Amino acid sequence: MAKKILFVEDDEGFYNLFSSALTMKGYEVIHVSEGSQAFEKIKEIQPNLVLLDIILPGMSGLDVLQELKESDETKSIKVIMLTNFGTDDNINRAMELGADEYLMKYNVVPSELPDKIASFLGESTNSPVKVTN
Amino acid sequence: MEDFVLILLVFETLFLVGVVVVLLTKSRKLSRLFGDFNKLQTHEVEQEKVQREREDFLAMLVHELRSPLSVIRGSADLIIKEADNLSRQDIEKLLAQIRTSSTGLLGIVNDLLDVSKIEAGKFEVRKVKSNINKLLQEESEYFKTLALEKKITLSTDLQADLPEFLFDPERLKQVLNNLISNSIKFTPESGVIKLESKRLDGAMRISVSDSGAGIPDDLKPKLFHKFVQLHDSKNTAKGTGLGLVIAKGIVEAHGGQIWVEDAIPHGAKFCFTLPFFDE
Repeated sequence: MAKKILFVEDDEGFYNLFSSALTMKGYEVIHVSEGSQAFEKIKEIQPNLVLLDIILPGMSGLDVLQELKESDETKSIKVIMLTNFGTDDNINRAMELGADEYLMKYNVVPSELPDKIASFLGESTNSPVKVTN
Repeated sequence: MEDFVLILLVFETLFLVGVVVVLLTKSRKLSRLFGDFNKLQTHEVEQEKVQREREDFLAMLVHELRSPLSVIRGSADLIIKEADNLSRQDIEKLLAQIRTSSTGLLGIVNDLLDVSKIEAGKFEVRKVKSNINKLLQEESEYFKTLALEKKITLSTDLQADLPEFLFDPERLKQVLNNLISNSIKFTPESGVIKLESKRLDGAMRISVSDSGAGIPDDLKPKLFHKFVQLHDSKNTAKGTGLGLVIAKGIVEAHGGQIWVEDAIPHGAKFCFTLPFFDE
């Protein structure tokens, strides 16, 4: 069964780019564009991984992370912060709150992202599935 | 003996007066010194604030430039390396994204150039005789769909029988785009936005009012300055924050003024004037 990734991203460009790279390698990518919608969606679909931006409409990614890690239902879900805001304050805060990884979008090579995530989730490959909005 | 006591008293009084005079002089000097010190401290605090605002602006600008650039580079990289594994639809989507991101990037660069010209006093507009109500109507139609996505009602109240006059329609469109899109951004769902035009003596007044949270009084005077950015209730603002700086530059290049006031019963009302010039 395909691994589910919830991608919390309000920038359509980044969403199109990274979701194309991930679905091509068989991940199921579910998308929400507002921070305030993220937590409900995480509870609903119980993804294997959350890719979480920081600057989001409605609620910041750090607040989403805090909510996610404080809930028994969701605290074991892995979270990679995927942002272009690399200030020490944000990185430290995200790691304190329980983020598993902090990636800068501009450093990520999209064609290499699926392998990075596969090794992060402790797997090798996936089978192709669709992108859900 | 009495004379001696008297002389002693006189000397003692003179001595005390002298001490008081010296103390008063010193205290004036000290108070001047403290005054200077306080001024210096206030100046330093202001300088630090300006420096912080500059740093925040720079960080925001870097972010705004990096994002479209990362998307362009990443999309091109993915197409080059994975063309065989990507569907035709994915490739078309990525190419369209490259175009959108490039356009966005160009917009930021143009904004920076505009601000630089405004600051250097070299900003110019190209006035042509046009109909302002037609422009306002077009803008209203354009933004109605976007407003509807948030269930916001966008209405117009335009002054009838306005003469055509000289202004730069493209630049005025830029001002209106900025004001209306800000209003949509800061107005909660099911709110209202009103676009008005009113004839004054020798000028037009155009306003965009919304039913959002309004602008705090302390922010109003700074709003049209560089490095100042509006944040929504969750403090999640995006963009360079240069839109209002440019709007001010454009309005002033037309000889008008721009300001913000409170809307009634609540919200923000951005107004600007455009003087009538026939030739």
